[in-house]
Amino acid sequence: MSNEKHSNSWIGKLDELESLPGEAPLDKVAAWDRLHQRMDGKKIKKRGAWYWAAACLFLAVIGLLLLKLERKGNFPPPASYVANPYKKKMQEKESDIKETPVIVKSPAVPTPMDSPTGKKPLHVKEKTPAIISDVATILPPIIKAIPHPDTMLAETTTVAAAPKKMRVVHINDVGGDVIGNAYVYPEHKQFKIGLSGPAGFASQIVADKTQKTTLSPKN
Amino acid sequence: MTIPELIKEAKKGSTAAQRYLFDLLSDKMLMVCRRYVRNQQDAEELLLDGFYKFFKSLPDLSYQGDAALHSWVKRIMINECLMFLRKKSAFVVVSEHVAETVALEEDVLNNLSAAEIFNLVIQLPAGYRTVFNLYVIEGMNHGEIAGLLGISEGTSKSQLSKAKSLLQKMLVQQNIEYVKRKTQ
Repeated sequence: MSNEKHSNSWIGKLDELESLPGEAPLDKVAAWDRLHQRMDGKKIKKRGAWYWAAACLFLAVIGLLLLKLERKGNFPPPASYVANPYKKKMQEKESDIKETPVIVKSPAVPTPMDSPTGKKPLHVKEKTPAIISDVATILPPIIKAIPHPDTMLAETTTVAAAPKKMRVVHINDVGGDVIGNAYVYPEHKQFKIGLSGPAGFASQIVADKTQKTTLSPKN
Repeated sequence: MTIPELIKEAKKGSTAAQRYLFDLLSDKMLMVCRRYVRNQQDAEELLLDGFYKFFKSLPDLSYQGDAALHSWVKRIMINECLMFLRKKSAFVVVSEHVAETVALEEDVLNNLSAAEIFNLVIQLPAGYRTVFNLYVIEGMNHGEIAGLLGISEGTSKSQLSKAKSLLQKMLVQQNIEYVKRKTQ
């Protein structure tokens, strides 16, 4: 802290200056009150910041716990369901068949269409796909139009279809061509083979034994 | 109560002792702040900020005499002012070539009253004023000033030179007889 020498006289005078002649002096009482308030306020603010930090931490912990619980409830879908193009194709086919509306007309409740023409009510048989496999036994609910007894209008009601018993046939008896195959469990060299023949569709998980799955040590 | 006793009590958290220290130092410190910051209200705010920091750092203080205490508080105030000026980006960066060294008319200044010198100093632009205050009044060198203000030494020298020449011009403009005699 040293530089060229200046005459200390005027610097000392300037340093000792406490107020300017024409100006009002500092209101010490008001200034002290403000300072005291600031000191107290900062203390409170500091405490308040701690409370906020604690509240944020608590919320974060609760959020994490909830997220963990939610994740526990949701199981991931099985691998065979996810990567199986053949099964997907079959399901698409099944849904095409089952989504066809089935009109069942009861003779007891005549519809306005019956009387003028005098024609017999049209019975549309439900198309049943000849699916001979375990996949075909699980059927989603079929939507059927059932006439309401009190009204002339048909009311759409969801009726759960009873699982239809299918004839169990050996895969070799299905005949036809292989329409698809996909690895179901690549780690076990297993794949699903799909067949389409006159008897319907069939699928089976087959182990691929042509490839060596284990490495035997060399002698 | 002596100043060491006041410091001791203030360290313990005595509001009365703190208040007494504030009353004792606030006038001079306000003038220090006003030398750097022209505006009265800004200077008062900086004074309060400075005292807040002073009371906060009291536990670290070891009393070594009145002069040391005074310069310590003054240093806190100056730092507050410099921080304020830096926030307001009051430092104007000028060309770095050093202007010709201007010697202050020390005799002229010695003949002026403290208030007159103060009024002359606060009329200088913020950049010039800050360097002038730090170099001439606080006795810092250009390296220290450059470090404090975040400017180069050349800029500090240039600012000081310009501040001095402006101050000379102001002295002449004030039609001070002594200057007239000197210039004739």
